Amino acid sequence: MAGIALRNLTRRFGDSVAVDGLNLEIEDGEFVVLVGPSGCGKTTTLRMLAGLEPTSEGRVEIAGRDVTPLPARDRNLAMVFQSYALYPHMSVEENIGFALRLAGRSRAETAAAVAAAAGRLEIGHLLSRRPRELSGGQRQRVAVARCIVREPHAFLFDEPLSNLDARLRGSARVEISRLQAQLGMTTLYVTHDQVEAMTMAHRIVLMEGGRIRQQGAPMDLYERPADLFVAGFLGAPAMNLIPGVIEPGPRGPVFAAAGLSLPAPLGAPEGPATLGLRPEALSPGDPGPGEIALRGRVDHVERLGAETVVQLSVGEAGAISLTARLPGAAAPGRGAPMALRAPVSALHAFGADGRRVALGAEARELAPA
Amino acid sequence: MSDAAFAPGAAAEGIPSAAARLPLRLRLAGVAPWLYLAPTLLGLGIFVYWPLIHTVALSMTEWNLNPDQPARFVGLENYGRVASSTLFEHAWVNSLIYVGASIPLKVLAPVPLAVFVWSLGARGHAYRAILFLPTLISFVAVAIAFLWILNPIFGYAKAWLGEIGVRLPALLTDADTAIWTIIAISSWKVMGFNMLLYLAGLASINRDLIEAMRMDGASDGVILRRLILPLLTPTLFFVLISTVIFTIQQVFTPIDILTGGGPQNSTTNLFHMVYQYTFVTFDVGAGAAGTVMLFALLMAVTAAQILTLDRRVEYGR
Repeated sequence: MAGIALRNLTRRFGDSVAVDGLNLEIEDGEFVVLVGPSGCGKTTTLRMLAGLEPTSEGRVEIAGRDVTPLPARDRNLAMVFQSYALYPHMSVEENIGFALRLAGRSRAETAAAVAAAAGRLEIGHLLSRRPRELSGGQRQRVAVARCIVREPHAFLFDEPLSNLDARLRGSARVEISRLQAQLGMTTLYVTHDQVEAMTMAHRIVLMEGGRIRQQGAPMDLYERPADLFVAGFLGAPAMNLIPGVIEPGPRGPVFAAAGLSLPAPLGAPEGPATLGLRPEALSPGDPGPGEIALRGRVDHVERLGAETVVQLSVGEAGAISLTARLPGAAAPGRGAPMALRAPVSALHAFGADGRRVALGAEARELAPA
Repeated sequence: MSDAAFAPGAAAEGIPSAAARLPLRLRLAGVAPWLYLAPTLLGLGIFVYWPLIHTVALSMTEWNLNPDQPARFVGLENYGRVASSTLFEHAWVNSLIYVGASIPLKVLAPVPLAVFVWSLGARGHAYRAILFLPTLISFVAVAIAFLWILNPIFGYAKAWLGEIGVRLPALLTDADTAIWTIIAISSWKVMGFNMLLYLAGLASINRDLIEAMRMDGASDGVILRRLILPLLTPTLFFVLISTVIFTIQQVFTPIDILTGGGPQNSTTNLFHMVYQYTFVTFDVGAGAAGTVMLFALLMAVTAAQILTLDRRVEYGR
């Protein structure tokens, strides 16, 4: 395994810039997830690292060595494709062992390595089958086995779970994370699914428009989103974002929007702002000390069993739509009035430029005891 | 309409049969599939099976194509006569040469060409059009054009080669070169079409597979040998069978226009032999016998190809 560095990496297609001067370092053994909406440049970045896409500018370094001019086959990276890309005319065993045979390893040596990798992924009984005889989950395991058998510098995953059903996706997430930890694999994993990013990554790199918007540990990004884009992207249901204005009030600055007047988060400057509030920060009931109160009418209720997701209209004429994630037992009827509370410390504030100006955790630290 | 059988008056007029009591829609249900099939069956019957049966019947007669002259039954005599003729010997050997040469020239040569055009992506469209163009030209027009080009006295080729001091040999009138000239022209004619078939086969290969193999450390040569060619085998198999059949039948046109089967029967094939027997010497019985033999040969060649090659074809996707 080895560390990876992408330096000022740029990819242009005609006039459009897919990846714009990206700088990223991945430590040896680190699991980095590149996440972002479609067209944000994450797959292009992965492909430039793999050597499958030429770079317009910048450098790719693997283990401290500049590999930018090297073709894919000389970079010693392994990749799991979205389609799995298993060779249809070869058995599972041939698929897994292909790279080793190509590298000149003996038949016996290859067979032993294939058996070990297959054993690790519990596909030993499938070795004589062809890919068309496998289920989606089995194909995915074969694709992973094909990578680990080679002992490459790093593993690249290009949306490897998007073809699996929800249940399999959950178990595959756990398995890939476990495998990564056991083998200490340096991993760059591309996905558009923020759940995969949150659950698997050591570090999330959130991209948009060919640039990195924010990177850090999953909970850092979740709790301290750098801007409105990050705040809206991470978390499901998404963070409630309420546009309004912070103005002086009789007992300190308040956030005002469509008839709502809430105490502004500490440190937020006056002027146009967007208030952020995670759906799970809301709970039913009247406010206690250090909490805000929100009253509204229930528009829609989604009962998921363990939790209930409620859409409410609050503010003057119900102009503001809010989502609250409540315990499963909370079962308000549609159209019913509802009182909600949330700790002031859970409020996020974003300035007119969309960048964060204060948030709950910081406010908590700053708040007088 | 279908309710008529259930009308109150129907029973009073007598006891209708079980079938008649069924609504018309149901009564027609058994016939309907045959009605749908009828146009195809009729076409196949008139244009394929009846001529086939009639040809077998004709092959056992002696007839000179004169409607006033009755055909005389001669049994299998025509088969023996054709099989022992020198024309058949030439036609048979030449057919083998045409087919043998078609495999490297028409079946295998378009593969690298298709891979090259395919590897160019969108830039390959112009090459594709240029290479496919000969397919669109009528073989008669092609043959006549080559007749002009290769004319040993006033042909273009003679003039062009003369410019650089090379003397054009009489390609079509020399028994040693005539068959190879026809093979070259028919290969040029069919090359683009077969290339297009291979391009269709290549288009169905998932590009991820190529990239996966690159990541596995494979060079372009290895990718071609270990991935592209195995996945192209269904197309290769189809091209092989169709080209062999095409070669036996379609070279008739250039043979007839360029050499008429000569010189000294050096370019005739089984197909042209049938024509010579039937429409040159009016020996219809021998022509029909030749046709039946040709049909049997084509069946045998196709069956052999399926039995020997089909197992090696990678149909897996």
